[in-house]
Amino acid sequence: MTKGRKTVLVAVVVLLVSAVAYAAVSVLFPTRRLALTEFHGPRGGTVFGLSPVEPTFENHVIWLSTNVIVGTVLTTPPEGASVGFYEVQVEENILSRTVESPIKVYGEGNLLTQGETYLLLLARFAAAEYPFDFYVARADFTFRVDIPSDQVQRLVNLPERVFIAPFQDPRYNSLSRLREYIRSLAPANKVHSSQFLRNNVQVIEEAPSQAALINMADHILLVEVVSAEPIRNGMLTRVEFTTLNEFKGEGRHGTNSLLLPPDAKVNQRFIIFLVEAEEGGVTWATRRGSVVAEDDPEFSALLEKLTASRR
Amino acid sequence: MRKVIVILALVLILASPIVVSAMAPRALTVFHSDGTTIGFNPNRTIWTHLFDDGFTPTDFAAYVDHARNQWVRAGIHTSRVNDRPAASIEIFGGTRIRLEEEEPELIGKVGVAIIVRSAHVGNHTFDCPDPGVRSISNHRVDLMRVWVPQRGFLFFWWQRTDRNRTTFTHELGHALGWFGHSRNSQDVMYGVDGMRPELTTRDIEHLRQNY
Repeated sequence: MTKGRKTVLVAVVVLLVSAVAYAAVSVLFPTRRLALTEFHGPRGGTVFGLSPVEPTFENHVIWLSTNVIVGTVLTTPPEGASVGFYEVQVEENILSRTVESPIKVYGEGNLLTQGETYLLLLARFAAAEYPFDFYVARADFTFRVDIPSDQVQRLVNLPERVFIAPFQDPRYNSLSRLREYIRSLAPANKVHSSQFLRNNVQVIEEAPSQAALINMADHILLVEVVSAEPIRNGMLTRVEFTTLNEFKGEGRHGTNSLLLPPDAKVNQRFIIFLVEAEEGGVTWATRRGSVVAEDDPEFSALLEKLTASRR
Repeated sequence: MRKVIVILALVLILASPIVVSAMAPRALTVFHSDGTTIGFNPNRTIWTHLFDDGFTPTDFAAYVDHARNQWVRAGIHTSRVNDRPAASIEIFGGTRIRLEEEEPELIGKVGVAIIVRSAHVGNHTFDCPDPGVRSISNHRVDLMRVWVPQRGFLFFWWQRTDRNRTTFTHELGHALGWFGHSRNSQDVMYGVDGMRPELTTRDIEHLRQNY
């Protein structure tokens, strides 16, 4: 038998053994599933998403959440807003620990009601372009909680605010039992939640010095905005721009438009420090100091310094 | 000027039966969605935009065209426009990191379609054995925004192609009024990622009845 054939044979055997082992484990240790009284997410929403995994409660906890909390809504987005930020006081961290409390929770404008307490499945969202980290609510599983009576109810109709008992097994319609169950999923969550979420995105708040910022940036551009449009949540403006000068990062910077602060206007000039993302595209190098508008007192001196460094 | 008026009048005359018929309350013969709403997009005009390095422009255009061709099978024709304000469907592609920053709802999802402007225009009925006759809320879609990011590494290139075709077809379905998700995992409109690039009869008959 040739070496090549042997290798193929070994590979096939390994594959078969793995398949048998996987099947055996699946049969011997089946994934526990809590049957829901209603399978689908809340009706009447304006967002339709294609999920990477079957939309069961367990999969949402294991694959699509970085945190599960019980929290009370302190503030809601302005009335009529299609989407926005809720300020939520964290009463209890059930899965992972939020860095701070209160936290900002991002969701549809009518998802949560001020003063009510919820059990929320959240995906942490960190991006240098946003002024703060926040958590995106997994709207499919929004539970209203009554702590004194230990009851949980699931939101199944957004505009009409209809809540129902979430699980067919009534034992799990209590906060204490559901809390235990969610915590039992924590090991699986640790393994899987990084696959579809931004767990690994680390935002640098501010460079220790201007020299450090220049050093860490992959691209430094002087741009002039040619079109500007606020994005849906109003936190940023999408701009198309003309590059007037490229101080660092020779060649293409792989973008034709950027997200800039909400007050960015057409014809305004900016100096921008960008880093290349692992998956392609560029983001701000740091949360603060990466975008310098021409009306900023530092703009002229910085422009001079960068121009001089090019000479 | 006269020409413009004549053209506008023609467009109105031709389009109005579609709009009126879609708005009229009726008894639906099938309802495959897990929701209680359905929609129709009277203009069906598509404007596309590609950010950064996500897809190649050729691939992006091919995925959009695949999706459009699939919905032609349901008798629902769309047209592309270069003028963004004329569009009733905006499709954005790009890198995941960029699109998530634009639309954080995309996190943990393969693609999303978001209703930007719509109007409730009446109710259909559907004779469902359980829980009996129910009311189906009918909506006119004036503007829908679709976000589809590039995919990460997949072992086989053809998986990526078929999965992207599925995603674009699925999201365009939402933009055309297929609200909620199918309960059948064989359907393009099922709510989970997969390789199902071809519309099924269920996908088609559900939406076709509202046009």
